[in-house]
Amino acid sequence: MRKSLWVAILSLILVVGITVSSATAAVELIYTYWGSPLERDAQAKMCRDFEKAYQSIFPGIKVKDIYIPSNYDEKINAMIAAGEPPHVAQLGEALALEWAEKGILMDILPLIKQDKDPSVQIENRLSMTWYWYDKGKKTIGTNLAAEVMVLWYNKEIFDKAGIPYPASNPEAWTWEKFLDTAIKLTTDRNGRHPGDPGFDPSNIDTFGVAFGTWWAPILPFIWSNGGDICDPEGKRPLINSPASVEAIQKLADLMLKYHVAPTPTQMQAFPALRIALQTKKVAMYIDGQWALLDLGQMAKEGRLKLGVAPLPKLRKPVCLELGAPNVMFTASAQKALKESWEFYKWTTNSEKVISLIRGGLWMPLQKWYYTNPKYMNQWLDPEVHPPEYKPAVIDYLLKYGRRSPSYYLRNWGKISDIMYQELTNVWLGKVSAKTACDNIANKIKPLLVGRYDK
Amino acid sequence: MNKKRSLYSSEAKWGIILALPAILGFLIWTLGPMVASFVLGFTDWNVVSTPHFIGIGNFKKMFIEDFIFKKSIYATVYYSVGSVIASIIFAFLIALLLNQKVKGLPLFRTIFYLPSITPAIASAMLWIWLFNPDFGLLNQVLQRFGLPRLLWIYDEKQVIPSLIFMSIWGMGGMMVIFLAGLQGVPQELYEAVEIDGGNWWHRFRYVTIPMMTPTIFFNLVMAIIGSFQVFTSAYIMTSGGPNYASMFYVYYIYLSAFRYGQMGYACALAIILFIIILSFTLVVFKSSPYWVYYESARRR
Repeated sequence: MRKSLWVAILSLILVVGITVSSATAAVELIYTYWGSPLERDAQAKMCRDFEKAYQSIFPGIKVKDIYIPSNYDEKINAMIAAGEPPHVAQLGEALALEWAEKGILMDILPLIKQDKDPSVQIENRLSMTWYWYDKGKKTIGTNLAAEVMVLWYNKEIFDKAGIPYPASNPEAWTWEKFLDTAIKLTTDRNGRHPGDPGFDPSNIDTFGVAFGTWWAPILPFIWSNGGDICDPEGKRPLINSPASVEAIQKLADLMLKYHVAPTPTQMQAFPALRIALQTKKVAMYIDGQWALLDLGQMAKEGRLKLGVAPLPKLRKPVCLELGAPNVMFTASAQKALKESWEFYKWTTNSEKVISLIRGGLWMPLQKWYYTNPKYMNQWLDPEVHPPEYKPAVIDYLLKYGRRSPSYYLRNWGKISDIMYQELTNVWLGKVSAKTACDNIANKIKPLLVGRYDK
Repeated sequence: MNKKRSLYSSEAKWGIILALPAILGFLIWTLGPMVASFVLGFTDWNVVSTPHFIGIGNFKKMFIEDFIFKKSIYATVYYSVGSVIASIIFAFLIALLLNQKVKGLPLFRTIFYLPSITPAIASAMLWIWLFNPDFGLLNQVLQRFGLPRLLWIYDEKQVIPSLIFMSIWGMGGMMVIFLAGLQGVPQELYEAVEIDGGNWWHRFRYVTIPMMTPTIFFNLVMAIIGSFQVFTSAYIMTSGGPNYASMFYVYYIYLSAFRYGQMGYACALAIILFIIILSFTLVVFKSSPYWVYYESARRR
């Protein structure tokens, strides 16, 4: 009696197992990504579109899209440790190249060379967005999208104060003009500006400008002033060079000397910066192009008269381009190489996610979106993208674009953390930029061990 | 006789079988990872590739090169000592107050206990606002009394005292245990003091404190273990800053493992933390015969 029960249970398990495994015989690709709920919807749709489009080539193909909104790196780590990494994934730039060198991620250069698809050719994507390693002989691919740091502003505040908008031409938009504009737009409770007698810096109604203190808003100014974090070889710190120090001090002076920008602690009184811009708590703010997703929506609904400008130049204009790569994991992708490769191309083909690009969150990867008016019209939505978007963002990127160190510098995660920690004391006025930069230089020296691409 | 033995053995068998889920859970989810992490501490494992045995390489790196390690040890010990002492004293005092017969006692007890059931993230967010140097409530109070404003968690020197201050707020659990202990103090001992002509201080010093030492001991051990594992305030409120001043040890383990991808190094850090907590706990245990009084045990 007992024996027969066991036999029955075992055979049941066997039958279920066989049915399940035969049902999943068709390839199922795993794709992981993060982002806002809006990104999730668009990415999920992109996956469904792929399934439909490739049903005849890969019958029964499925994409299991896993949306991981938080603790992303931990979960990917766990999937790798379990021996089942995703086939294709969005990945934090700090880990990507290190993993590439260890062979965890695939070098896709051979695949590109065999492929005729123009959307994936090296020369057809913004050259800045490629992640190179092994002395530039291998690549894990590009970002999912391009992004740049820009200056957003509320035109209504400018109109009311009778001040001209920031220049869209990066060469004409100088630091002096920027500072002057910021001073004129900063008003305290009694309507006084910095420099006026009786100006009250502890009761400011509208700040001229605001910016976050992580590396992306800071770095373009260091570069623009002729400074850098380290030398081009990635071996010697330059963060304490006079040009770098001067740029950081100028940013700190915006907060502490001129009172035209909120300090990090004052910023806490702020709602999200986009709301601060809309409610006229700030007139201008420095953020990624991605902010257009929300700003554009407010503009579309007529709640905000949105403007965009390049970052002001200190000596020469610089546009910081940044992002996070989409990659293929060797262990999984090798098992379904054709399917994974087609899907990888699909995810980084801006045409397939045009809704997110048109909505303002991303910028496209393929060059023709920047040069050919036919393609430009596909993603520039006049209701979302401000009229000066082309000179202030597109031309700014094409002419002055420079990729962030996350594309090539070893130990970038640690280096940027050390910068952030040391600089907090500068924004609070506790130490000078010089002191902090000397400390950073000392601490990052052992971490400067070269680049991935050279 | 024989029947009895078989009854015992059958009971033992069933006892083990029924306890198996708990035993297995412990072995698989606690002991297993602990052993694994101990072994991995001697490797260069970065999760994605096969680990290589590197001997004491991680520990060498820790003690010789890693400036963040030193800062995090300092921050964590500073915080632990401060928060353990402060919260034990405050929890004890509040428990004494709540042991009095006053009007609205349940209300007060609820109020003091409430913070400890507030989700850690929610209370961290709340304290970010309280600590804000420009418009936070704490600085407004200081200003009202003509005192200088502080930078609280935004200053290298003030951040740990601020977080200790915040930790006092969450001492509700400890307070409840003290309260239970206080209610277990035999009434006749107080009466004896009164008969001998003792006042409130004598009652407190010679009855309450000695009778409470086992409870204090328990709370002390739990608080030490808990405070060394402080994480949320660094993760949510300060990102370990400013300038690494609140880089709590567990937060640094987390960063090493998941942000910098150095799982082997993180395991080595965890071994050190284990040794630190173990030695603190041992010291407290070894010292207990000298100051903890059990009614049933004879004093040495």
